[in-house]
Amino acid sequence: MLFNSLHFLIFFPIVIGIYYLIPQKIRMYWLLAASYYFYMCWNAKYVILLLFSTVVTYVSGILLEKFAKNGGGGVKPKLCVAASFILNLSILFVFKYLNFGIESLNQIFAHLHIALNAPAVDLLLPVGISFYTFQALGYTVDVYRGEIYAEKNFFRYALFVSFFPQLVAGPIERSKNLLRQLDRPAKPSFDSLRDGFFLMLWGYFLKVVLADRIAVFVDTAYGDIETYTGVYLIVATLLFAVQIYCDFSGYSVIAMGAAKILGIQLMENFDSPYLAASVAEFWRRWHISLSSWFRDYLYIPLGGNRRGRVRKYVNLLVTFGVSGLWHGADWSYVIWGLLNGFWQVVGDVLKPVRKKIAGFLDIKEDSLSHKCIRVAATFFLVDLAWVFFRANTAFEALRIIKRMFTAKNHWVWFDGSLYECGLNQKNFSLMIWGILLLLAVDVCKYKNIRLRKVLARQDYWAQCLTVIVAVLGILVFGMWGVGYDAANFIYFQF
Amino acid sequence: MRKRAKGLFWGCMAAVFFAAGIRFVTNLTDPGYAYSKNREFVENSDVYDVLFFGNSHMANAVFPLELWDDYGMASYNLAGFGLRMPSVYWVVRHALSESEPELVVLDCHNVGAEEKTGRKEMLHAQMDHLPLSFDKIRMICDLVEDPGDRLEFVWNFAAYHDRWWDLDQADFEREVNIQKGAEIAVDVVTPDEMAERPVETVDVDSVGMEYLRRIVEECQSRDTEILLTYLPFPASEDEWAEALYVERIAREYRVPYVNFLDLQVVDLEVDCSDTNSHLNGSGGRKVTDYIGQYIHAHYEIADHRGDEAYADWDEDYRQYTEYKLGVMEQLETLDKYLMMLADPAFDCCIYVDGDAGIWQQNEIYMSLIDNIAGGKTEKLAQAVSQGEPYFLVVESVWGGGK
Repeated sequence: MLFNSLHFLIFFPIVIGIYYLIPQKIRMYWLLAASYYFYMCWNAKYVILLLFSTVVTYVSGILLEKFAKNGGGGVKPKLCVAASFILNLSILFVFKYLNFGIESLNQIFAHLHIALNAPAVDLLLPVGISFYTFQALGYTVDVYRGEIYAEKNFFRYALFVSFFPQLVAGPIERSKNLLRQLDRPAKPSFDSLRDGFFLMLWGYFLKVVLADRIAVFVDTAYGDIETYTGVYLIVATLLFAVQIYCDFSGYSVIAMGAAKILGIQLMENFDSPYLAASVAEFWRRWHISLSSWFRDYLYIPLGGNRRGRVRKYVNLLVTFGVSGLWHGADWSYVIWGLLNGFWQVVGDVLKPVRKKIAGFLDIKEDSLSHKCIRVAATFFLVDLAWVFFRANTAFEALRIIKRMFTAKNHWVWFDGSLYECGLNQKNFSLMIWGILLLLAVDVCKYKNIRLRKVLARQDYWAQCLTVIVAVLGILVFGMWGVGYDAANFIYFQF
Repeated sequence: MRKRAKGLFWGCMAAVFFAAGIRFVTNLTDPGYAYSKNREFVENSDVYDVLFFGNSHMANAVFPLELWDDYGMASYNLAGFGLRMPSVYWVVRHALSESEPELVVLDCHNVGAEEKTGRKEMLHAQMDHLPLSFDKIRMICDLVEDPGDRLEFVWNFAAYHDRWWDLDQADFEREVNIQKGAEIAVDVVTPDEMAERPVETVDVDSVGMEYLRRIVEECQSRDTEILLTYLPFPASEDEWAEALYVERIAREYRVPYVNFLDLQVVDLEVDCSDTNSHLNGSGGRKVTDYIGQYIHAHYEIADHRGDEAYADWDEDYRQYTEYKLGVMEQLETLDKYLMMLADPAFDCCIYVDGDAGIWQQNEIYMSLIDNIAGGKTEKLAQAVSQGEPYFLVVESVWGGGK
């Protein structure tokens, strides 16, 4: 069930209505049933994997606490964590990486002139498996570290793993935040309902007005790089950066809004990422729940930056390489991850040089102009890496980059040809206006101006008018309905 | 308490304005074809004595305002382009729930089809103007098999909302069909060969036949007379088969049936607007004339000419004639012009320069003039063959050239 499907628009009000009508004691069970239904709408059989992951991590939590009460230490807790990781990651491996492994082995052996020809396995990737697996594993580690108590109520824990707003594409919640709230959900208030509704509206705008409109241009250009070369690919690549942001942050914002209406506060997943002045800062603002997961459960356990510069760089590259692999079972994702790690390593290595140059040229590092240059440079580097993320293969990504810079068709900027790449002039203009609105909102957020709060302070008539105009705008300008196959959110595949 | 009342007030206001907004954008983005074609029927459905149903064959073939002029018959053409018999069934059902005609005339072309609907947009054109009702929901569930496709028929905004970039003056100043639902086709195309009439009637067991039975039963249950037709066009073997099988159904239900494939009402050489199916204005005029005579002879349909309640119809007919003249003014080729002249409403003078050559090179022109003059063109043909000029005066075509 997609957030932008009619199914969800019927499902969600029913869930809310019943949720607030029934006694608080049983609300959790209702949410759990709704969450499992939500997941089963995609593929009922695969709910068994969700349940398995839930049971394994629930039992591991109980055992870990028991070991801790018996004095802690020893090898048992570590074995318990290892067992939880192995069982969960095995499922993830089989469903997500097995074919990738087989294909890679076949290629390696082919290079050695050995025909291995191991057959691929016909398995459907369970939607959201990477998200809920990581969320459940995070819980295991948190209990192991003694940061939280193990959850005794199985149903509450099952709801923690399967809470439908964030089940299939995050944010990957921390047990410290979500479990506590599931135990004592906030009482409904007009303010929280309104805030949740505003969030959902903004999320729908990002998804159906912007992301899906941009996707038409990007898919057209990337789908035929022989015809759409040079400027088309440059524009498509610039737009893809916006598309994936709108798509993913749109989902996250809808998830946050839906959860808020249910009295649950999910963590922020994006914080004006394209206003970051360095790649490292970008990753502190982009997909925050995953970045912080890798930081807390991989980068820091690997030693973080505590074991010298070389080790820090290796840890960075390992973390981002794994992050790439988490996003997709293909070398292009690994390269994308490594590139992001590499930019950070290079940035760190060159930091003294940059400072010297800035000093020599009398450049004020805190000036707006300097900040703008850094933001633009960061965007360029991140966007270049996105090519590997979007292209079908790493080789295709290289071909695209080459064509972007070698094909000479600069007239395309001026002669209206851009309007022949899937979007006509009016749709293209609407997209540009939408992107400018997004930029303005992100700048406000960057400057700590919370527009939702500003709106909430206005008179009721102004709030009503804004909501009506926003909903009508989304309905008219959104990409939905006939000829539109409720496009999956990009991050569902991960 | 006061705060709650205020909240309730603003909530209600928001709901009202939101509903108004939704209605506005829904109407604005709707291309309005369905509403335009059948607006008159929707607004005043209880004045019609005869209703015509079917697909594009019927829409192009029977002109209600000609029937008004000839017989004072109040009729409306509710046929829709691309409709299959199941869709027609629902159109008939809806129309009979809104009106009480004396007679339903149903063309049975494509009754052998297995599918319930043709192209989606054609179904929209027939359905969009119907207000949402329990019956409409049933119609949608019956005709649209994929539940995922039903929303756009329940709320057509789902299909049209992305027309925002395509809106133009026509969307703000909607044209209305002034032909009482009919549509004159203006092309003149030499059609395909018609297949031989089969010797035997074969069983045609199809979804369309099932719905044809339902239509007949629906009419009979309401004591409404029904006349089945199979309009003329260059039929294929399969179409001959269904035309003949309809005869069996007509006998079974004891309803009259006019199979135009067996009649020489039209001249397919000059009366077709495309290669294999539709009649142009000339062909439609002949079919209208025949059906008018048939109805006049077999049914007691009131002549409303001079009736105060139908005073508007004379004005409608005048506008319709002006519309036809307007269409002719827009035409750019001689064949279309000559085809449109084949209309009893017009007198015409045609000067033929027999020396010009085009008359010998384009046989169709001579056929079209022959069509205007009701076959009385021997002298003209003689003049052309001798390369001499000829001046043909036709007072009301088919009345005879002089």
